[in-house]
Amino acid sequence: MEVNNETDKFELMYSVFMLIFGFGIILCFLIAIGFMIYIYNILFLFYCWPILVGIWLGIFRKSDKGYEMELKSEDAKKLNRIIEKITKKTGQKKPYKIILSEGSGIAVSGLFRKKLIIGLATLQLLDEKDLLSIIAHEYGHFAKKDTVLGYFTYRIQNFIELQEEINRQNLTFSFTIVIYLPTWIFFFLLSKYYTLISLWYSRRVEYRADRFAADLVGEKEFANALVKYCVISEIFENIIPQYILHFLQQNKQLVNIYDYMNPIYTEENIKNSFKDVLSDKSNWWSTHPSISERLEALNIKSVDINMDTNLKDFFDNQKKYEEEASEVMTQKMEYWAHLIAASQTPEG
Amino acid sequence: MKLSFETIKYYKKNKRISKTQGILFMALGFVILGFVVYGLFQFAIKVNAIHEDWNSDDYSSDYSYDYQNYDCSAGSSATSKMNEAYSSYDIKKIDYELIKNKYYSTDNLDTKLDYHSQWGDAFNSIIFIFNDIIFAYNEDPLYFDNCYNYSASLDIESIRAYLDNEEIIIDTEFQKLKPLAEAEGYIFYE
Repeated sequence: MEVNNETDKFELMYSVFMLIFGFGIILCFLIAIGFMIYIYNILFLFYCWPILVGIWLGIFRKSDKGYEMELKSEDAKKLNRIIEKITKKTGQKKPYKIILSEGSGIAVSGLFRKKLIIGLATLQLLDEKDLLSIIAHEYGHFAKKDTVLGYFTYRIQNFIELQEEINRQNLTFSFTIVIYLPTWIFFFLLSKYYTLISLWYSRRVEYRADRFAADLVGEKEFANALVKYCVISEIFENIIPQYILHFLQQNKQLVNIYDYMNPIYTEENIKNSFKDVLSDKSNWWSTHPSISERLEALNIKSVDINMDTNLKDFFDNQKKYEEEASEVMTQKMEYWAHLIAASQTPEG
Repeated sequence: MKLSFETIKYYKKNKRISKTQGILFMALGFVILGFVVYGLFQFAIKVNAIHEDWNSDDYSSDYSYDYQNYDCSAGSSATSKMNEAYSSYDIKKIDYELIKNKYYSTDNLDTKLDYHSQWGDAFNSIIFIFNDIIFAYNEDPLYFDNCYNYSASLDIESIRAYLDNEEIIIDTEFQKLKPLAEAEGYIFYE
């Protein structure tokens, strides 16, 4: 496998810059707050305690992982074999745990312990070759320590956004405005800037992970899998939530939403979805480059999508996991429906 | 179901991400960070001064010396000048008050004019002595503030306030006398 060292050096330099900048700004802010406490003593603590609470939460609050459905290792024999093929080729470790999500996304996270998150929806229709390609892309992130940098940039971003929110909420027409207004403006601008630079980097490492996967499984194979994965995801996210909402309105709940998937993957839907996926454009606030950009970078001229709707055999006890995930997704949709209804209800 | 798609027609609609953008972001980031660090550095320099202005417990450190630690045992060569000036001031002040009382005790315009003139002279004599007190104080202000009844500068300021007030009274009385005297045929030259 060839590695472009020049690109790696630049990306390493950029990631060091993001850490120096982020932690440098936080350190300066903490020192400035220390000076303010030194000058104003108890007055600062009395009037500006939300800032201190924000600092505490920003540094020490654990991220909200939400609901996680862990795939038990005894149920994941086939999936583990696929992962093993990649770990053998790359010399990387197996993930610490595999999380099954109710949606369609496939992602990785973890500072020291690697976590692979796989959307159940995609597992319905991807074949082994496709899944190998997509997981190879995720292992590209592991191999280049993207999840480690991602952890720290997330903490920095979290700190900045929390400070922005706290200072915004405390803006009132009183003398404390001399503290809160400049601090809010500072963190508002900083938040925009830091989001911009971290998303720029995020898009850049996606190309690198694509190249990593293409080197492992072949460019054409990876491109086919990538487009297929995006098409599956797009159709699922557009249609299945509508089904759930439709049944919720009739006070009914789908026991297994994945049973309703196969009929929606018609030739027409796939063609339309392909056009949508390829026409999608990225911008400065996108986490990923557009699919057309990624395919262009791999020099792919055409893709073949083989949609087999009789799969679903990557792990055991699939029904049990699917029903649990269906319950989670239905609850989320119910909550969203409730929020939308509440926002549309006139006040008073 | 197997479908094939051409992807090439979708290309070139998007701009690829460039390294130049990354370099510009980094440059901007270092400018921002440098600006913040510089601001913090400037703030740090001012913090001590701001804190001292606000914290009365530490007020004495505004001065380059410490009142509590001043050595009074060495004495001061200006003490005799100060003593002399103060005793002269006390004597002159008695004369001054005496003339002033005489002015207020008569209703005769000629006599009143005469006493007012003497009152003015007595005031000028006190001012002359007051300047001696100032000169003596300026020779060794630390000694006088720490060792010479601990309030020399306050004493000086109270005398100054007294003299300023007396000057106003003298002038006010003259403004009352002037039209009466002019009516009697006195001529005043400015």
